Amino acid sequence: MTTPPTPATGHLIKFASRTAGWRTDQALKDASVMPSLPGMRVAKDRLSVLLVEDEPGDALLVDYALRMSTAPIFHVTHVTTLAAAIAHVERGEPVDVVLLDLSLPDSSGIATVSRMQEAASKTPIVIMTGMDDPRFASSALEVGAQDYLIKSDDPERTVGRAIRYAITRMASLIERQALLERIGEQQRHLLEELAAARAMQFDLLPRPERLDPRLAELGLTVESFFEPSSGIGGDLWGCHDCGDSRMSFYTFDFAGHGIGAALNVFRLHALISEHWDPRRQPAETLRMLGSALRGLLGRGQFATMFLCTVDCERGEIEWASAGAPAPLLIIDGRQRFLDAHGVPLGLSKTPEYETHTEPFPPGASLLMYSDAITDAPQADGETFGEAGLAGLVEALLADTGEAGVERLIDDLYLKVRTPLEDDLTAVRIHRLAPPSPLILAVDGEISSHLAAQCSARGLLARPLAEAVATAGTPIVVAGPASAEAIARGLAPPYSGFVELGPEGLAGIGRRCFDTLRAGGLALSLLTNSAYGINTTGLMSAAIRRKMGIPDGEPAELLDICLAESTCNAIIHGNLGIASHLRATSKGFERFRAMMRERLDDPVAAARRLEINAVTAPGTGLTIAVSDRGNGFDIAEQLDRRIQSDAKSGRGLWLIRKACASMHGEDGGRTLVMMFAQ
Amino acid sequence: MQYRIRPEGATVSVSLEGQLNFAANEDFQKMLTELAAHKGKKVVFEMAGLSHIDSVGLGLLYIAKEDLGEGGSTITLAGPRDAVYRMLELTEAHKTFEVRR
Repeated sequence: MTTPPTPATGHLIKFASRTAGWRTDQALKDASVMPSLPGMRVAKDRLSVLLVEDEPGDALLVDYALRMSTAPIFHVTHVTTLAAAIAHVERGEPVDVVLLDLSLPDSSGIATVSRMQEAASKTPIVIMTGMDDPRFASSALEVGAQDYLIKSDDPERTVGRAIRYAITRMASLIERQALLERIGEQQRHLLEELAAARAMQFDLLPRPERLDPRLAELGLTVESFFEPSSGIGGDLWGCHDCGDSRMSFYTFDFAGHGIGAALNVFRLHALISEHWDPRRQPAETLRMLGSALRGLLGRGQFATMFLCTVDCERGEIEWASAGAPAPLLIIDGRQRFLDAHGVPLGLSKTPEYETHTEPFPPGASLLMYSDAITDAPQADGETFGEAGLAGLVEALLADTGEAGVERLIDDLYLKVRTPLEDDLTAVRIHRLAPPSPLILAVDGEISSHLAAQCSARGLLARPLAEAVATAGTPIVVAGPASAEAIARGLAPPYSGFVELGPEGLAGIGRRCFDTLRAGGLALSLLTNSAYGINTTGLMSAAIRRKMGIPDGEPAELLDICLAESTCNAIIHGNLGIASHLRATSKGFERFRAMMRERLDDPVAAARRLEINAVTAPGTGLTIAVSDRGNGFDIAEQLDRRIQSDAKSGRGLWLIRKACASMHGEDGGRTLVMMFAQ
Repeated sequence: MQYRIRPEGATVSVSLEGQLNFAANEDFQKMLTELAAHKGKKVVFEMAGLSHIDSVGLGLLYIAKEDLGEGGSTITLAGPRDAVYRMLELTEAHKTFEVRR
């Protein structure tokens, strides 16, 4: 190789690659991959023959015939039994070919071939048989012999040819096996690479754990399906937070599929992430991406893309499209395709797009998808088309009231030929109906932090003095916990009390606000307050008043359930203390010391105890008691036997006796108890 | 929970007031120590002033029975309110304690 001359002006020098990418044909041709086959070449000028023959006359004839040959020269070792032949091979004596008689003193028939082959699997075997029966000879070949000789034939003429033929056959058999192994290994390697690339592509997709808090704030549900047709593909969808009440979503699809398209997916994903500007309108963003891709993509490569921004405050969706499949906008159960015409990205240096705006009220959905759906062939050969998709969505809306992605894909697979030959992506953005109003009457100052927490949870924050009951809007009191504050919150006109911790409303379960919105009673306290205040007494009195439960057995059973579940939730749940400690008075002292210690632990102290009580038609009163501890297996706990004078372990068992039915939720952190109507 | 101990001959009367539950304080332990001085006597817990008991409080009564039993004392639970009696009944405590309504 010569060194290129030093350039006079600056420029780029690219040396040619020394390999041609995947080593397939080249590798297979490469002689170095072939196993070395000593003595397997027919062209060898001296061949060692192991003659296994007990008939002296036959042996002599063959031996004589072989001695007549000078090119190659045969070196003959004669044995008369199979055992001696096997012993010869196992001693490591060189044997290029075995001439094997099938009726030996210690073995006869086809089994002789199998046993010889077991001892020398890579050595060619030529059968010698007196039985002039082609079926017999062919079964010998099937079990692994390379050729056969009929003894009555003239050995001088046939034996040398048979030996050379057998050696050639054996060599090509071994070569074929080596090639197959090599191909299999390469294929495994390729599949491993593909699986790693596929995992990387799936890693580009938005992650629920990062997206969910924001989607919860915006009241959006996003459902997605992503399935590359050949391991990795040319599709992707993604989203970007624009701040405030806005969030952007996109889908794109490169022409073609497979590795080339997948590499372009990584390019475009990187471009979008790098140049993302939430202030830019969709059309501008597409224009920018189109120009950038034009300079990167090879000839004939392009991508279609749909980009939209949902604004939950304005109730609008802004969008622009670069020739993407027309998304479906579904409002009030009616569907309509959006006009998604536009130049695909990568085809024009200065593409022009238009930003459209549509209303996107609560309850509305937008379905974005790749053309794998509309281009999918049906049984009659016709493509599924927009009409097919519209029909599918129509039926889904009639059946379930919404166009859920999972059902959509299930139903699609019933109607089109599968497997699909293109990458399939379907994403549905759904605006949830706003939660019914709930007023948080704050006992104290409404900080901006608290105001933000309220807006994220759909709560209307009001100062306690100004929170007046309006028709149908429940009020929950929020503030520092005390017996008086809790009692006030649990009595009309209020429906509950939530303690404001150092982190405001942090840690309050969803069930709390759901209960309040459903007209129930709710209490959410931090561990120390729940421990120090007569929580269950206050809650029980409030439930009995609200539900009109008179004194007597039902009220007493309710009390027992509330007390036992609360005690379990605080001690075992939030404080994480086992109950078996309390077996002796000394043990009880240790138990109390441990409780005091844990109550001082900030982690345990930040945990909440929540009691939610609600009645529903048909089910009667349901009380749920939740903690934030490690949870436990309620069924397993109930299976334990309790001795009649046990000092602990009775709580759950008592609850089961005292309520109509009970079950655990949230990994045993919530105990749900139902009471007869 | 508060308590008051009154020796009455062969009997020691202990009136309990308030709640006997998981938040029980060191008073219960103190009470057991004081009662240990009345070996071999019949201890009657007057429970009319007890508004509430939970399974932890019940566990304490079992501990009391064991501790006092070692000193030869027996325990009677007297005059529980309905809610407390319901608890004793549900847990079959009357099989272990003499309960007098």
